[in-house]
Amino acid sequence: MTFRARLLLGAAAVAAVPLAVLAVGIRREVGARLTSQYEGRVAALVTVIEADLARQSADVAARLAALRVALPEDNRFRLGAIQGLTAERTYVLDYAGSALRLAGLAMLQVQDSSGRIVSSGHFRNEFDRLDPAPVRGLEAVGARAAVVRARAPEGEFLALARTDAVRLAGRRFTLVGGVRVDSTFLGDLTRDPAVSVVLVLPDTTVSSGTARAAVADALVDTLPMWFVDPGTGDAVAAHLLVAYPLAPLAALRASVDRWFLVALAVTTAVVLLLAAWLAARISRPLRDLAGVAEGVDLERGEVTFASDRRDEIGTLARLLGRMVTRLRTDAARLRDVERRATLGELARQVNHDIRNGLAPIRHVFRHLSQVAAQDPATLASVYDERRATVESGIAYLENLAGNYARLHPQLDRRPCDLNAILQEVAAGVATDTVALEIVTAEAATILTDPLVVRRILENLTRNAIDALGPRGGRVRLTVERLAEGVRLRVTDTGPGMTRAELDRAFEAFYTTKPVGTGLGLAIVRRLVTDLGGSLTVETAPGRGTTFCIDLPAAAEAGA
Amino acid sequence: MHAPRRPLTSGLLAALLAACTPPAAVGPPTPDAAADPCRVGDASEATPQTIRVALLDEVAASRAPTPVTDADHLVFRQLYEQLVRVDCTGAVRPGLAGRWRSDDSGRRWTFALRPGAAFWDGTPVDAAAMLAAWRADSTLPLADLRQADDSTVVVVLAAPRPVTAFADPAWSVVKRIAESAWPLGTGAVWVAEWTTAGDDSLLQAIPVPHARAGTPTLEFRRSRATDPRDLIDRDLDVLVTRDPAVRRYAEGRAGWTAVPLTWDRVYGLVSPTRARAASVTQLDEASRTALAHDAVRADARAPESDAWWEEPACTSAGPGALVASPLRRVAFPREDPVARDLADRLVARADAELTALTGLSAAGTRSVALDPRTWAATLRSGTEFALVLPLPRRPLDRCRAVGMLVARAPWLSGPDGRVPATAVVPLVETRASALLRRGIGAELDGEGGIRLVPTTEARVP
Repeated sequence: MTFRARLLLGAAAVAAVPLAVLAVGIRREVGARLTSQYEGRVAALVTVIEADLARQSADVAARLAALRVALPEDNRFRLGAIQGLTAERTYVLDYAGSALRLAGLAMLQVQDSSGRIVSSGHFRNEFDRLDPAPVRGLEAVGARAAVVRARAPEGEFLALARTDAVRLAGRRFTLVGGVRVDSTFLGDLTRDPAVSVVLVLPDTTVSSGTARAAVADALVDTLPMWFVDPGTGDAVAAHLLVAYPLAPLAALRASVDRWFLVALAVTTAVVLLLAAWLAARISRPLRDLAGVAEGVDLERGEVTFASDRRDEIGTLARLLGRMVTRLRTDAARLRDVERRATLGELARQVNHDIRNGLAPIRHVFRHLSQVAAQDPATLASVYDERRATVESGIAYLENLAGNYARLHPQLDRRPCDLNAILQEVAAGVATDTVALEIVTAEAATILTDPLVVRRILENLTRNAIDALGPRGGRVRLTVERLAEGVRLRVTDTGPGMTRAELDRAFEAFYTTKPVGTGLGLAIVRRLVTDLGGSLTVETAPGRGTTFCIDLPAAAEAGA
Repeated sequence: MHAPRRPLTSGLLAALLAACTPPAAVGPPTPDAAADPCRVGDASEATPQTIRVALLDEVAASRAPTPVTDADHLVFRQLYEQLVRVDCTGAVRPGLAGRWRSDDSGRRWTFALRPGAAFWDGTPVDAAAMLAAWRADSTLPLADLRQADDSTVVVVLAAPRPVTAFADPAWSVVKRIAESAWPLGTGAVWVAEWTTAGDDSLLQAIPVPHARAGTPTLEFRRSRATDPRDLIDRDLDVLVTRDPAVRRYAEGRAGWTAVPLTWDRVYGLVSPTRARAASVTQLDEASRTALAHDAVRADARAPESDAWWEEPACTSAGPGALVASPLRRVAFPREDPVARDLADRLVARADAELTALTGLSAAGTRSVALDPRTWAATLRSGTEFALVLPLPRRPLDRCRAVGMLVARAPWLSGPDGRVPATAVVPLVETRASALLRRGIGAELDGEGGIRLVPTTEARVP
């Protein structure tokens, strides 16, 4: 991450975190205070509803009391209900209906002492039905608010009901009256459309019209009531749920969240702009320094870190300038050392290659000298025999000189018979103590540089002979045809190499021989690489050593 | 001259055919106007030139001359005539036909037009006009129609019918013209004005030019939002009501006479479950009397007429499909307070009478008022647990009435194409009352209606 990005992120975090803490704090504080207020409101509302229910219940009782007073004065009712006068039968049946409308009730029944309905207002044709259970339950509840389930032709409805009783001619008649409890009734209890009231009965619920399922996310308080079971007449517990919706609080919280996000966005934008400006002020000199550093070349001295700043940037620039000056000095010294080392290595390689080239010539001259001294008559014939060896050595040296003249030899690929090269190398290095064995192969001609192949084989063969030491041994040169090329093997019966010796065998100037240069295997590896081949070694202490050179076939080699 | 009524012969065949088969040859009785029991009202004073009549429900010209609503009945009776009419005693009187006779089978009837019969526009009514009117009605049970001469027609019915069948409004002789929504009738008054404005409507029927002198103009007014008692307090002359409270109010007013009309309606309970039940219960006499006296706020009584829907000679198309699980409701037409009272009482006694009558547990049943369209659809589909169905008490043509009943409720038809004997439980019979201002006379007919204009026989020269 760049310094500029870190600076921007850091600045944004510094601005946003305190703001978030502030917003959370405000949110919690507002929520707690409003919740407390709502709880107080709900509690007050429950108190009001309780008083309202009690008042409505008392109001029903007062209306029934008025009917209780009026009923004994009604001669037609008396004639119909007590005397059984047929002409007044209809009047009795319709009495409750008329009284219900006049009294403003939703239900009214007149029952006799056995619980038989004498007149029913909300369900006129309910007469003569036995229905004592609600009266029994309501009388058990007394003046407390109780709800009964009333029958109507179109179905049942709930009523906040009371009872009263009147005696006519010694017979007791019970008045059961009430007002309808429905969503409108419950809605009127709250006088606040936002507040919902739910009457929870054992088998059903009735909600105020505003919010039927508003208790899910609301402050809820309960008000106990009674419900008279229509079947048994038992008064069972019921209750009113008063639910104050928390939607306003949620809306307030949402508003706070909204404004917080706006403030956060604005603050972050401002801080990021400031941070960007500040980062630009700080990072631009650093970028300039980086640009200068990128242009530093130890070979040239025109790049400088000069600065007149007096701050940390200026100090850093001056330190970099001094460091570059030191590096230039050290680099010049290092180049001189490398140049000297390269010249020394080149001289040793030339020396090594010339010695390799001179060795067969020297060997021929010794042989000729020995023949001239011991059997002069055969000198001419021996000369003829060895002349090719001398000429080959001279040609090798000439090529070598040419290569060194070009400093980096160019491959001279042409068809060459590896069997012949093996023969030439073996002839050049033959000694009395070492048995040279050559294993040729058919179709061993490939497209490659014969001089390079000869240099590889001569180095490896001489190494093998040297590894056998004075006691001698056997060296085998093998050419083998592969599917994708040819494989050359140089195997000796020498002492072999340890793992450590093998790991260093291809390092330049590493040798285990008292007079070796340590360049032979290093040169072999480079030459094999130049030909596009690969070199592997199989060796173990006491088991001799085999060098395998895989060269590509002519077609591939020429590619 | 009218042929004298031949007494009914006794015997099994005659008893079986008594309901649908008229005497072999009958003629109109000779009216005794002085002792006519069907003449009501105090007509001692001069009849006013215009009689103002209140209508309590809708009249539609498209339904003329076959009435559906009470208002249709009241208006169409004044405008249209049938071949014969049945008076409040059940006697058959001449209508458009002055004479008639039948062969022994009761299928072939010959009617002779009364002299001077004419349409409203003065066109004489002849046999060709009668044939044209009836041929236009495909519901008439006609096998053949022939014109014997200019004033005599021969009607061959598909099945035997009594002569009272020809008093059915379907046998009205009308002529439809493009210029008027009202078909031209042969009554003494004709529709001169018919206007509707919102809930109010006015239909003015004035005497035809050839009407007898003294024939009044009739003004039928409908005001949906007005209490009928308010109409009595204003300038109303005639009101036909089924509300006993209105009747009692009129009876308490000086100058008004309340005349009970013929029992014309019977309310029956029909139930899809009962329609296919093997054995069912009937209401006992005490329960039906209690229903009439206590449950119903109308001029009602326990049913006394025979159950015309059980008429064995009347068959219909075949059984209708039944709903497997009808709704637990007792349905009734919304505009009918008597049906409402009966439904409510049945629901109140669901654990007793209703369960026994329907053959299924009626616990939890409630009543439901249905608007006319829903009522018709529900009656047809039989999706309700039970229905309180108003029916004509004594239809002029029983088989036609059975056919109409089955058309309305196909599931009432049994496998043999007949309505099973117990498919309809008669609950109560009701009648309306005519409230007449002093000086207004009327004639009661046998179908629970009144005629405010002089009868045709009075105009017969």
